[in-house]
Amino acid sequence: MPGGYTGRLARIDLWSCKVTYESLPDEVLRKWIGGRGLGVYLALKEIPPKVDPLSPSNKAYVMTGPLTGIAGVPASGRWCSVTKSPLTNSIHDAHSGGKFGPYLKFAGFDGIVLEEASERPVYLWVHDGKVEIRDAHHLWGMDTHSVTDAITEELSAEVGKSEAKEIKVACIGPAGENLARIACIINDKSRAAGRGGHGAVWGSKKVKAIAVYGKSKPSIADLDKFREASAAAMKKIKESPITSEALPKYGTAVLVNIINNAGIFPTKNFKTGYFPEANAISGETIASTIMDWDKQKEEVCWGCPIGCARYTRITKPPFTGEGGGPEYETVWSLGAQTGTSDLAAVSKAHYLTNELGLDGISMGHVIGTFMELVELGKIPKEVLRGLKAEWGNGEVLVELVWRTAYRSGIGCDLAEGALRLAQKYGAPEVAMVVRGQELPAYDPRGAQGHGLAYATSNRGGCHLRAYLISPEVLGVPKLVDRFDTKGKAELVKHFQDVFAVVDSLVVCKFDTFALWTEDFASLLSAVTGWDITPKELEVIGERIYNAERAFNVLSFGDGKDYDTLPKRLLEEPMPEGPAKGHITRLPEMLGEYYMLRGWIDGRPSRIKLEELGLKWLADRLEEEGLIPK
Amino acid sequence: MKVLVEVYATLYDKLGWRSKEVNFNSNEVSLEDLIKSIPDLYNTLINDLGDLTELINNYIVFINGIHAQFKNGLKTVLRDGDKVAIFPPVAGG
Ligand code: SF4
Repeated sequence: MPGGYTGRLARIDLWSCKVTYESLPDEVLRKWIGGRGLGVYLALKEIPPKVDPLSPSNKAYVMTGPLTGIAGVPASGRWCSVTKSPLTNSIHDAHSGGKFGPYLKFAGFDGIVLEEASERPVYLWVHDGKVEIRDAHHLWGMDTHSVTDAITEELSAEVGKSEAKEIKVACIGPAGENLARIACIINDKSRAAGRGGHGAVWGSKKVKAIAVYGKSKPSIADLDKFREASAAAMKKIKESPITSEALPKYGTAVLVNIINNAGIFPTKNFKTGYFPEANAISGETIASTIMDWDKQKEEVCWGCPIGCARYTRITKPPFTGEGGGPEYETVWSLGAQTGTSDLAAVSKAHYLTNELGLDGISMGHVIGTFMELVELGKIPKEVLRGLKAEWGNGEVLVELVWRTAYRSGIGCDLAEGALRLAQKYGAPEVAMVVRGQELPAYDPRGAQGHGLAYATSNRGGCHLRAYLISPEVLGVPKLVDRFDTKGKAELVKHFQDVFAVVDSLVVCKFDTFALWTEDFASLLSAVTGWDITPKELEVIGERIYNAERAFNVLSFGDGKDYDTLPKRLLEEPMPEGPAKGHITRLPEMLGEYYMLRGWIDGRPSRIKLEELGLKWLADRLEEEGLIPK
Repeated sequence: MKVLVEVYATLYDKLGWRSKEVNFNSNEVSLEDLIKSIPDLYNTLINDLGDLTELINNYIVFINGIHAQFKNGLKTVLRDGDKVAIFPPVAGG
């Protein structure tokens, strides 16, 4: 067994309440690493691609990677959920920080597979190398904070009061129970495996929570080599002004002012890229007004030397509340996207998304979609029932978050996500989505490569498949012209492949502001005992990206018709600011991207799949008549 | 002519001001001239970077939202009403 792994996967048949344990062959681990990569491999082998994501035949993988929970690997306190998404019908991975990931490993597991569905609510108690299925009848209906406290209390009777803080809980809130397609999984109360509706998949299986506890530390194959690789990586993190200064001090919302200055801060459902009141919701304002710096330290993910996490508090009614965050993405989605500059309202809505178990990005985004539909007169008065869903109305934010989690009134439509909402009310063009997933906080009309990254993202609208904002706006590692399309296809492919590896290791993406493949190869080689090169890592990333696309082709016929952007971003020039007059010139990049990927019309070719050691997948596509000629 | 300067993140903390409007009699003012005309900004940048020439490649400097690199760097000639925004290295996601 290579170092870094526990060598054990627990498989839970929720229907028959049977738990089995297995290990995966070394060659599978080396080909897919862990987390996202191993998740897509298992999904391809086990999930019928056309399955209804909310049916018992879908599976949910709760995964760590070989670098998860290894002290000395920067920002390795992460875990990853993989499933077929009820929002996008694609294969989908969602990532989260906090402490749950490492503790799952300390409890003795590389991952947990949830199969079938339970008849009644349950939670899993994962400790000391075993998994117990427990009744969760009394926990059903609780918000994520209450359920975390209740389970911790319940289990501390077993592990001892002094050990209570060592129990880590991942759970769903009412949104997941009510099968909201934008429901997430929350761990450690405020960290979210956010996107794609993974919370609804747990809800469909009647899994309320997973609690983990354990003391077994993963082994390291070559300690001397590891010390060297770790010291080098930590040095880079400490020397980078981004990871050592800006992120710890201001959090991710430090981006608000820069992205707004660049004129690509999507405002009022991507009508424009400039939000005049952006500073009111910026990282600088958060740091100087609502931060609790003592609590912030507790919020930082396990083993993280960066510490971007926030803990904030609103003390003045009517928006009193406190909790982890808000982050750049949620101040955008609940702020600029809805035209709201009231930081108290935005923060309160953000706290509620965590407590009720909703993806903060999608939630705010969908409210913006709804507000535009209201503005266009598409929502009948009898549906609105007096609700003043107007741009900038903070009170409405809070009400809509509640309604969505409980599918109450119009919330039932919002819970379906932006695309289904806009379709229902006769204006699908208002949905700013890719593959049905709501776009995040950057308008690609002023960042061409980022537009290509959105369009070709296997999990739908996402900034973290390939974060082209880094070279196009932030100048990391090197500034490129954001309005130019030349060379972007190559950059996007490279970022997509490397990020697929980072998601499989499993470590935080913010490492990549200071570390890249050579650093990850050194760390992984030392931990596992493999002699892995940066080139091999890139091939693994490419394999994962192709495997995901193949799953999607089998699931819903993914291909060039889906590699696109909302019409607004392709045809309507940005109305103002530095990106004024620009559209996303996707056709200038897409052909070259397919060529570099070895894809035909957005589908992996046999030659490419065989080159990546995926002949079995090429054969499967061929059988279904889906291999492009 | 008038030019607006804005500073963000740690630069704002160090300087204690967020934006400044600077008036010039001449119309031939470069980005470098602008920075040198604001002593505390200039001194802080020199302190952080050693040399002003490092500014463009190490910080994010926007002139009306366009990176100074894609203009004429420090030599970019400013126009009446221009907005210059200076950010130390930042990132997020
Ligand atoms: S950088 Fe932020 S999100 Fe990443 S591991 Fe550290 S605290 Fe968590």
